[in-house]
Amino acid sequence: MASLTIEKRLLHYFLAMGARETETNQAKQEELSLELDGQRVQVVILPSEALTDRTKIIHCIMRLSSLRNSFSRVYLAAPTLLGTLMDSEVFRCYGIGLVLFDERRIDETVRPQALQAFDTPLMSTSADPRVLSELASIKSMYMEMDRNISELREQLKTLQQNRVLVSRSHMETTEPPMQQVLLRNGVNLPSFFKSNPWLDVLSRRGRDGDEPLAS
Amino acid sequence: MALDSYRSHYTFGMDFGTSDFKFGAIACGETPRVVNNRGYFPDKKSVMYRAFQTTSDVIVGQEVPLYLQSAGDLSARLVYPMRNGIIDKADENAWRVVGALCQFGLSSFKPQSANGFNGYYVVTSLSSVSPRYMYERLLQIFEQNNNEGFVRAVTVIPQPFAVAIGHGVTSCVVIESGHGNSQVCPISKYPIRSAQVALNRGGGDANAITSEILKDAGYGDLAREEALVRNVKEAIGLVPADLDSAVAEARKLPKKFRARYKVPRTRVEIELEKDSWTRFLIGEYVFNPNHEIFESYFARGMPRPKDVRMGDAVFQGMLDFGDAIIASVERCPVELQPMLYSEILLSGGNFSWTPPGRLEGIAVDAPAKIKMLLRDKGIRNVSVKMTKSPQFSVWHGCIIYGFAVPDEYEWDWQRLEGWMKLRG
Repeated sequence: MASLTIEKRLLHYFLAMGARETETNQAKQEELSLELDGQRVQVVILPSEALTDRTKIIHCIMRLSSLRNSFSRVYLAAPTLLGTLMDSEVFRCYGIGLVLFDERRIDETVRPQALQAFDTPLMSTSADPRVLSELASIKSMYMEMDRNISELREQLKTLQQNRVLVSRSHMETTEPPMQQVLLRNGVNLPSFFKSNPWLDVLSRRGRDGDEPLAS
Repeated sequence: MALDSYRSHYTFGMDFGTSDFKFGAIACGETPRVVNNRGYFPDKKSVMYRAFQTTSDVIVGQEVPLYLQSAGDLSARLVYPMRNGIIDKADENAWRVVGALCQFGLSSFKPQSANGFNGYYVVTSLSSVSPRYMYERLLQIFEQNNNEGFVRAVTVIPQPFAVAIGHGVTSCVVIESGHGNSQVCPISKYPIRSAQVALNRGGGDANAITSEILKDAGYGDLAREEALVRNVKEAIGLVPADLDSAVAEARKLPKKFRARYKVPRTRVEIELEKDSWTRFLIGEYVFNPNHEIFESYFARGMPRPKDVRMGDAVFQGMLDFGDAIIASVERCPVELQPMLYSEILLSGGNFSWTPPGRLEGIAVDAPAKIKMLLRDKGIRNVSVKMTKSPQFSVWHGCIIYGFAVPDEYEWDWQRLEGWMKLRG
């Protein structure tokens, strides 16, 4: 069963946080354009394979800088391995959010700073951001499970259809399982039908002249 | 026949015998399925009843032994509905067992509707002495329990008629002899109901005299065990060609006629020694209980087979098989009588007698004994045969009847024949 791409997983993660997709979301690969609490949010994704490509990392950082003035909040979504290479404090200083992911989890390591002063905070200050992050991660996993179950349902349905076809073809070849047969008008019958005069006698039942001798 | 193709798959036979219920669709081939003709009314407080959470209040089929409890409990809860082939009109428990067996039989052969199934043509078979109300009640059972649409049409035929069909003889006399009674039924394309003769004598009577013989030989303790007595009867019982000469010969040469039976896997051995001649009484009693030698047994308390009325029929106790056949045939038109004598069919376990080769001429099988009884009364040139498949010939007849009788031949209460349609 194919697993979800990181773009889809991140999308589910942010949707679970209460964001919604914007119409421009499909415009650029490896980026997500979202709206959260009335603010525009842009997520730049650094794919796992790009970690070994310095140019790509620099391109990502430059891209984040360029977006800083266009969006209320920007995120870098990068593999967890990046956390071992860079100090997350750098992102905090520049108000850029950092989301780290691996094959199972997605964690918001650094929350972004809103550009405009009038931006409302993302979350209620009373809520524990770690709990919210965990909840979002669970919701993301749930959506993936839901998708997996749908795929399993489809496969089960196909399997059942195939089984009916197999049992029908089996029935066509085995029914009736007669031990000794003969041919009568192309029909297979048990051996006690062979040369039995009652077949003709009984088939005339109800016709004129066929009445009981005595009763 | 336009329905050949459909009925070659969907004809169903049911034979309600005294002990066994034989049932199955035509697709069974030569051999139907067999379960005991009985039902168990479980104690609803029992562990088994609760464990299986069954909604049925009468258990039939292979599951019955799972529910059996104490021996004392059996007589009240275990019902054999067809003892003597007749069910009392008011015996509701027996009728419930019959209904449950019908349902069990049909649901055991539930076909796939995708294969064009539109209900079975069901042919059931009852004793030839079954009164009209048994036909009414049986057909009513099918009418009331066809919610699942298993039955397209149903009919009932007498067992001797089914035997004749299964054997492939259109004019004959069928003698069906079971445990409790025997029936003589002439057939000429139809069963000739007015000429039927019923005897209140069967395999159970042979058991009774075997028990008396065991008592006389000093095995009184074993004579009370019904199953053992039946095994002794089957092992040592012989049918004499002529009782007087067979007894005289056996008294003269007791070693040659030695009657000995060892109960398998026990130390029990029965040896009649000088009384080995009595083994001929067992077979003779089945065919002719009128010999004076039996009077001493009656005098000592063995019940004499009595004439009894069951349903519409009088079952005669002391009529020998020869007289019974003659009485039956002579109720038919004279021109038919030679044809009937020329084909006499014996069916049922009470005719299973195998004479040992060394006693040839003295001990005989059932067809030979019937021929001798008829010869003594002046009837010669008769042909007497055992049915080809004594156990299943009734079911074979049901299947052929269900396959061949036209769909439009509707049930008629005067003829007691035809199809009662339950689905269009």
